[in-house]
Amino acid sequence: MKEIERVRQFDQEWQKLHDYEWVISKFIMAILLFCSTPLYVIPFQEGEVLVINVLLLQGIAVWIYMRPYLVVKEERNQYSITSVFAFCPIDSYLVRKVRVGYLRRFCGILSIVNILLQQLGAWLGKTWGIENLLYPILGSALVYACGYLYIWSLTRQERK
Amino acid sequence: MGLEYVHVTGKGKGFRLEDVSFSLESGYVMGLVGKNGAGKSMLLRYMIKEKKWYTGQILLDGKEIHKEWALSMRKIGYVSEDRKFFVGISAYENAKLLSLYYPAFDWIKFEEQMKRMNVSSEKIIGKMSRGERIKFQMAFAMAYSPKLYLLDEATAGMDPIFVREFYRIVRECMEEEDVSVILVTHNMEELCRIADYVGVLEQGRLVSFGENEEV
Repeated sequence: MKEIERVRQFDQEWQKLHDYEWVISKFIMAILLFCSTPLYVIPFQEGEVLVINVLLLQGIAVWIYMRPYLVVKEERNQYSITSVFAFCPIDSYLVRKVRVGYLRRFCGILSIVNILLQQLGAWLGKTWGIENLLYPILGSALVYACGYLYIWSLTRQERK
Repeated sequence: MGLEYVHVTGKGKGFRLEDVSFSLESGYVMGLVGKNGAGKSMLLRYMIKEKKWYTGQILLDGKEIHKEWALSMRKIGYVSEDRKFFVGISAYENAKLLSLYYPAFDWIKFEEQMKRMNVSSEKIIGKMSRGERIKFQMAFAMAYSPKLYLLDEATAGMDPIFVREFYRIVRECMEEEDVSVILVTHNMEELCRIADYVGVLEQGRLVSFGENEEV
């Protein structure tokens, strides 16, 4: 078995063990995405004021999606999962790589939906401009960057 | 299998090691003693940490540990109160999750050792006593058959019965498999009883190293 597969297998087992946590996080994430993603249908020219709200809600959705992969909530305390991995024979960059993979998949789908909705809105409103392409791309990139920073901050501190 | 420290020098939080060199052949127990802050635990943690925080070399079986750190870690059994497990789940669930990183993990051996040490694998780690946690760690380590055990104050604050039992397990393990043990302790009595070699650390320097009786 490849080393990276061990990390993925761990995540599967971990998910089975904490399935309620995953269900809750996915439910909250779905609500946030349901409230934010459709706003991309409003063309950038008409919905400038909503940009911050959309980015904030999608940023929180990513944070909630990644949290169970990174944080252990047990009894009254919580800690980074890497504090346990620090004593295991697994390279931290592999742990990070797998989590970044989950983030990439999530943000990849999200950005396609964001771009399509914005194009649809611009086409319907007959206001298409380059900003209608840049807005969802940059917005999704920003959400990805936030998710990446979250992963990086939690996977670096304990493995020194 | 042998362990060799070659001119290991480095700093930690308030601790430092200076030019530490020694070698330990397999089949022997080495005891490390010294005052608080002398660098005993740090000497072990340099092996455990993924990042190389020292200059010099630490060789395990002739290979530098930090060249293939993950592979080297599979040959090391680290037993310490500092070692973290998932405290909200049982010993069995912890073993199930973390054994994924140890290809040589033997479930039969793990269950046998847990029974032998009289610890239930269904018990939640957070609800275990300190002694039970140390025993679980020992059983977990024994299940993947490491070649080197690092016992960092494993018996500190334990009652004499536990200490005697713990070292009996360590000795039995050494008889069954060709392993080395590094033992960090403050207890000179237990050190005299179990260690073949003794190293004395003072302010990060290994001021004395040799056979138990000599030191």
